[in-house]
Amino acid sequence: MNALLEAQNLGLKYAEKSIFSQLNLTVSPGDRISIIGRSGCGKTSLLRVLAGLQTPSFGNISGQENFKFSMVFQDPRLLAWRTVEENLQLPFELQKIKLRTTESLLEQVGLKASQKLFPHQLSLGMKMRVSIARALITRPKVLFMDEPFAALDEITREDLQDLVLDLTQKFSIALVLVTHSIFEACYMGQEIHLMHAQKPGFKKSWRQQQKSIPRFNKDLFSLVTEISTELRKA
Amino acid sequence: MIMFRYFLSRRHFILAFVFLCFIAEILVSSGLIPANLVPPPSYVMQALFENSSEFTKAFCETASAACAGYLISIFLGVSIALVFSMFNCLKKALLPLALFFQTVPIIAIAPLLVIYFGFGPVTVVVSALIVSIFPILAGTLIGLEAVEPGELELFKIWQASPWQILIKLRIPSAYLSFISSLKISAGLAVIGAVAGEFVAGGGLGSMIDSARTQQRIDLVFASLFLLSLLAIIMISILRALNHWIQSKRPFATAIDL
Repeated sequence: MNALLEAQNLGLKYAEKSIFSQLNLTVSPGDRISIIGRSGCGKTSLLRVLAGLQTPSFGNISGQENFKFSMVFQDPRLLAWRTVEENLQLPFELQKIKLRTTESLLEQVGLKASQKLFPHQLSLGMKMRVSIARALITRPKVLFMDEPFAALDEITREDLQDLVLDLTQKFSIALVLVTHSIFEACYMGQEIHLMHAQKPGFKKSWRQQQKSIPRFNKDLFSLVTEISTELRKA
Repeated sequence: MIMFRYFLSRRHFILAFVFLCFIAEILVSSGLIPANLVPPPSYVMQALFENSSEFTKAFCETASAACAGYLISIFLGVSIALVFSMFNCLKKALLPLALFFQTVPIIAIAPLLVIYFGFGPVTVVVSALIVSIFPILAGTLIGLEAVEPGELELFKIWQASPWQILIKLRIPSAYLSFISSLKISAGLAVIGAVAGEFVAGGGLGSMIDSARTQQRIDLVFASLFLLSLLAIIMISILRALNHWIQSKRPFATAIDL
């Protein structure tokens, strides 16, 4: 299959300080990629470069101009003066595309009853659901997520992880997830890349064959332990 | 009913005001404060009722001039802020000039206004406009420019045009700062109108001026009372409007003027 996005020898410098360098990453349709590392290792910057929000200092990215992507951030970034429904319609309004009905997607993320509510009337978990729905409604090819579940409570986080896995598979959207939760990286990603500040390239990468089912299984935990040890070594 | 709810929500202020009047009454009638410096509140009330027709006429004149100046300054201030937010070089060139309106004392340019616009309401309206425009211009401009960077990024991801960013993001985000600047300017418009009336005549301003020359301190205080009443009415209308808008569209969560 053709790669959607191919980054070669990517590097970013900020005020003469190298954030990351010599990174290679390929995103193909249906991929689920987790990028993990400690705070400040440049994960978020890498995601922003991949999404085209920031220009890299070195290297090149091919495929960026002709693919559709969406991004979900740690904060839901909903517009306070728009209802749930109107927040979902925003991407269409801006790109002047005919409005697609929001109802079925709202039902899939469990927010049909809340479509007329304003963001301040929702819990953080519900706001995140709206944010995810808004990212998916344009049917992107790639979904970038920047620690989307970090501020949520455990149960909500697990629900939303499953929701994202379910919907990205259903709509065959490639997922690129940045997280500092080792468990999350292993649970969500088929491909897991470990980043380390000041070291060129990914420090180490893992690949697993299938989605981890059930949520807590032996293979997953041994992988979590392995990555955790590797992170501590750094 | 609405009036009753309004008074109920303002009961602390009303009680404090009545109490302070009561204290003033006692202090003056007991001779601790000379009555020719501070008139007892009862004299002020008496003056208000005895000259009620003049006061009503003067109040209406000042109120209409202040409101006209205020409305024009809202229109002009918001329009200029919109233009400045779109053309940065224009903002850099002209914003320091706008500061002129904020820094030059209105009492110093009021005689000039009389030369330009003559005696009468036009000068008063222009005077109110000059004093109240700057906070609206500055407040709206700050609001238009202080957009959440995260929300701006979202709009860029969706390739929004500058026009779309203005209409769908900047203007709604500016609401809070705009409405706060309206509140500041409401009081300023009244000040500007009175300053205009000192030189151009009419309204409560000239009533204060003539009462001063006659040493009628009760009339001066009665006028001052009506002036504060005017500002309170303007701000109350603003509050009600803000509540209504926020109940339809929550532009900013939990603000109360």
